[in-house]
Amino acid sequence: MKRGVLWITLILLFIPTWSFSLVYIDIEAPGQERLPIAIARFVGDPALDSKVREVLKKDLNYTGFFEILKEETFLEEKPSLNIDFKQWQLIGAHLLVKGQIETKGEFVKLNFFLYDVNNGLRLLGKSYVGRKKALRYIVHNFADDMIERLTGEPSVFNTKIAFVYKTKRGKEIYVTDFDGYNPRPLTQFHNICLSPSWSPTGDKLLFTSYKKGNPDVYLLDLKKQKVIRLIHYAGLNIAPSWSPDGRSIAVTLSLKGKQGIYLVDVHGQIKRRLISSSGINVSPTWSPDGSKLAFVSDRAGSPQIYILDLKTNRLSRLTFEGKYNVSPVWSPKGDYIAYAGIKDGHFQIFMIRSDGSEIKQLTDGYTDCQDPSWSPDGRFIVFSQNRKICVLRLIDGKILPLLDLPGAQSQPSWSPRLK
Amino acid sequence: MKGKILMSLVLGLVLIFSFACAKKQVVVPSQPAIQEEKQQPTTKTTEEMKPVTTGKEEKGKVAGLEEEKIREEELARQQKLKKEQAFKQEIQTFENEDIHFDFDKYNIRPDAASILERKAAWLKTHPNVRILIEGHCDDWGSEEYNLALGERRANSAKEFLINLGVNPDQISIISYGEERPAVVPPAYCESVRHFMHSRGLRPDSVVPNLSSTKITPDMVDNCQKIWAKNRRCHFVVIQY
Repeated sequence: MKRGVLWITLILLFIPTWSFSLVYIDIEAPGQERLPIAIARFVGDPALDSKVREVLKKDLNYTGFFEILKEETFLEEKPSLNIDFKQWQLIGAHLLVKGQIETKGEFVKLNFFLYDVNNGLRLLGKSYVGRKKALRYIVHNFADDMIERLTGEPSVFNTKIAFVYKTKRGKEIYVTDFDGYNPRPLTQFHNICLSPSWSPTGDKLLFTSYKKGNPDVYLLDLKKQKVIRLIHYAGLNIAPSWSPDGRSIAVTLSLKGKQGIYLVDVHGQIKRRLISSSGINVSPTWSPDGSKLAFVSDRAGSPQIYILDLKTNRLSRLTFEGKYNVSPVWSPKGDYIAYAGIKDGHFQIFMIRSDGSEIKQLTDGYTDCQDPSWSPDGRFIVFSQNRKICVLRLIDGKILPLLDLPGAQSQPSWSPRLK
Repeated sequence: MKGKILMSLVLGLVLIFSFACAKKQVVVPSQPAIQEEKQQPTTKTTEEMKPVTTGKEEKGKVAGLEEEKIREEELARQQKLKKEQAFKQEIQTFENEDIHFDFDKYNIRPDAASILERKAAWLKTHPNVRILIEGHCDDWGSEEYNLALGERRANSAKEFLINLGVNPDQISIISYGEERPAVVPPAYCESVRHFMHSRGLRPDSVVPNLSSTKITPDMVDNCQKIWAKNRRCHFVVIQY
């Protein structure tokens, strides 16, 4: 019902069951060649056709999995739903997308088909109906289904990225689509707003604001379009992080002169204190199974990342390299923790195995890379680079600027899948 | 708030000035009130303070007694005003003096300790005063970590004052992290910061050879001074 779109999946067309065993894109295999794909012209309204293919190409390019073949090489003379697989083999296509556009008033129906050219197989056939003005989101849905068919998991085409935008009157929370489309404000507090953090269902956002003078945690209900002040104890109420089961929030409070990480419930009531010391304890991030928390502490004299096992209460230090490691974020699969660390004087993004066994430096040659956040499929990391938001694609290390906005943006936070 | 304090300060000063001048006959040519005074050198202070009634006051003893009473009241009022003025001056002195910290640290430095000793002494003699300690950071480091760091700085200052005997109820704290710098660094400090980053330097490091860059020693010096100013606790009197 989102955006006034009627999502109706009409037909799941015939797919030979054995074709599921074919692995088209092995996301675990590094340095894989890109799959050559042809996106044929769609049958139907030519204006909508070019819009659909433009969005689809952008989506597929975003993943880094494909080599999109040039339209000039296509041998097909006019758009058709018939397929001569040989024609497509000749130009080197491994995959082929075909489709049909039908319009009725302000509604549009799109039939998409995905083919394995070499084996002459239909891998996917699906219809989508929605309003014309939501065409972009219909295409995103198909693209996600397509990636799921090819890799076993949808991509990020139905996700958003929240971030902090510095305005003349303060810092506000903004949100944009995963591809930088349609950035828009979520708050207009004319005050300092920081650290956006999504609920696991993606319909709520937590953030810190000084709206009432003190740094308190606010809850924005995106469905109800309502904001409430949720956590407001004396002192700090910062860096909220929602547990994967949605039932608790880890947050930094400073009670009784100590700074600690506390578990509070969804109404803001303290459930228990997890960690507290005379030093700094901040930026908690949950392991995806909810059994552990990584956070930043200065207990060893400089900011480093620690892991607290919530079952055993055992605390262990994760990072030993470098003198300033902050902003940990646990990967969706649980195997890595990304963070920002200063190396040779530069802030860079790193990822370290959650058992500390392996560190990879992800950015290099850029300055001031901070505030990493994982995409829900774990294939991308969004971060701030010199107060601009960038997306890092992990399969090839490519870094792309997300937004073309003036001024300073920071603290990006990737939503879960929003379908 | 600041505007109000400033206004009352200016008004108060003008009042005190004109009063003192009347008594001591100090000539300040630029002030019209004093010039009037010069024309009537024998006028009594009270009359000068109530110029509207001048001329109509000579109505015998009753008037004289009333005059005496008015004069006493006026004197008391002036004294009270003076006292208030002095107190406001003290508040201003108290608020004007920040304490500073080393990069990424929240321990109280010796220079900060002596400032805090003065503040503690004043707070102890004014038990009705309540203060807010704001913890601030420079813009090196992560925003979230700096919020936490600012809180620790404010807390260190608070603990220090409590150890010197200040009533904990007099002190509240808040952290602004890097959000409200005392001095907003000019744009070139970004370049200076990147240059220093690239040499593995911290904001308080001595910067070596600058040749082959567009950065001058003055620029570095200025930025470092600004960053140092921003690593601070600021003190605000919120109630007295």
